[in-house]
Amino acid sequence: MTPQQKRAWYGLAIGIVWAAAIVAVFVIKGAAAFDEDAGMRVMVYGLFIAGVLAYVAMLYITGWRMRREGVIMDERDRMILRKVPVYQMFAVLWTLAGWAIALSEVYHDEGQIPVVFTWLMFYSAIIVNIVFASAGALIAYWSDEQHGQR
Amino acid sequence: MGKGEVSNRIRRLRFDHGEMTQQELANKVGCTRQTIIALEQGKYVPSVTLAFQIARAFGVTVEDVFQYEEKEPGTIP
Repeated sequence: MTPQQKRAWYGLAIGIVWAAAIVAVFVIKGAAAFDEDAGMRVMVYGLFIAGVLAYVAMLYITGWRMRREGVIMDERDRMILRKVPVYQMFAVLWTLAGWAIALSEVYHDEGQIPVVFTWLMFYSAIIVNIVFASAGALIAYWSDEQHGQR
Repeated sequence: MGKGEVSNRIRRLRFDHGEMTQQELANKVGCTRQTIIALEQGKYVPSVTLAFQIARAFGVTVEDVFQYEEKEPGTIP
């Protein structure tokens, strides 16, 4: 496992815990409560910011350790990591497609959706984008190990 | 012109150079051990720079390490 793969695993672990924590709040309190309950909004905003900070801290700490230990990111790492934005883009697009389909089906008869979902779509796109920065790297390494440059 | 394939003799050359480990070679040329593994498995074709660095680490020419075999169009690998 390359140092970049280890870093991606750390990022994925943080991303999964982060996403699970936010989803858990919505499952326990209900999406509708986001509009009415100021405490819930603070909790979600707090989790959202804490997740971003934890991810940035992980990048900073692992980057600092790698520099201190003289760990190399070589040309193959760079070639593999260039594929990551493609995975991120598809993950975000699929997430938005999922939201669009789900909201259209659920709120079709009403002809409008609650405002809270516009925020949830935004948060989920950010979270998926960050999670797939790590997941995409792991997929790219796995794909390269399976198929090489073919 | 058909699609070619690059093979290499890195494993053989490591053996011939006092059973140099993959990590030792990686350290000499400034890449990760995983890149050396991918090269030996034929899953990665290096840049010209890395190819020269590997050849230099063994004290041989690039052609002694890497071979390019061109395949005729329409042939099945």
